[in-house]
Amino acid sequence: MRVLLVDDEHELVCALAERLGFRGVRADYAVSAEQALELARTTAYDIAVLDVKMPGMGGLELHQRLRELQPDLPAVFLTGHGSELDFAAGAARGEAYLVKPVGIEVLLETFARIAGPWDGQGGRQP
Amino acid sequence: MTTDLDWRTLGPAGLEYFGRMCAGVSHELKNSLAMINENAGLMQDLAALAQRGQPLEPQRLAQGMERIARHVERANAVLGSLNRFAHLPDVPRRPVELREEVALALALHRRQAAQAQVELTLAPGGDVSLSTRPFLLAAALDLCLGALLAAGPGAVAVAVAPSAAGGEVVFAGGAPQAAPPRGPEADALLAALGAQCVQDGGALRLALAHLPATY
Repeated sequence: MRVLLVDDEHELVCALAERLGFRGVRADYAVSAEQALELARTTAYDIAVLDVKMPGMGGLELHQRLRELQPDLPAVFLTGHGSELDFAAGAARGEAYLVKPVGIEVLLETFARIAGPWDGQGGRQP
Repeated sequence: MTTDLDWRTLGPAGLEYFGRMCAGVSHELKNSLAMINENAGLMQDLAALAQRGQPLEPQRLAQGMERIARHVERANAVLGSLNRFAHLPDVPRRPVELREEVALALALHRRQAAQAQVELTLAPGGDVSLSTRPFLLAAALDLCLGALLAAGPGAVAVAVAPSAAGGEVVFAGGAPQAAPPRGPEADALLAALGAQCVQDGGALRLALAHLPATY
């Protein structure tokens, strides 16, 4: 499984990428929408994990732009906000909407629900 | 002169303002907790790998601990700002150090500014004592900052200076189309503070007067 993580908080996203790596998920990360689009131009992803609120382009708009490059790319939205409006927008547009801080097991369960189980070596289970 | 008067002056916008500030703080705290959570988890992972025989670099542990400590400090500062904000209405009119009030407003708008890609900095300078209504002053600063953030990305230097009537706050830089806040609610708020907000040579200038005890 290959995942794209996007959050403007570098220390969050790089730690999360490393932890996912320990669990067999290949995770690339970006700290801006522009970086994420650059990565998505050259690499196919199974899931995008997107922070809803980022400077400039937020996660909801970024998902639309990513889908222009990878039309079937599902999204998990992460947010520090918990408003009803945010929830409605995120839940309508993504496969999951999780409020920070998110336990890594919850994230992995969400990945499995969306993309199916993987082999722990970075690939999908046959 | 009561706290109730502050709320009546602000009208429905007052609750919206209070909620917006609290939402910004909660977002900052959530982010800090998420970073603490992730970096603590990373260290747990590294410890588990070490138990299975993988070499553990002390540098990695030190880095993780440093990140956690920094975010605890950041969250504590955010909570400090929230606490100061929550106590602004306690005494409706009192002397304040204007620079401290501006610093608090900038801290409370940090996340909103980042979202709007506006860099806010407090210019160096001395303090200015001002007799005013602190909660309304904070709301007026919010109005000015809201106008600047809505105008678009840029760098804004905020300066505090004394004036004959009391003090002034100058917001220089940022998008050129930033307009002074206008409308019945803004006008009522500024009048209650004896304040004026004008555009002056590309900057927003909030002029504030000392309020007499009977105000």
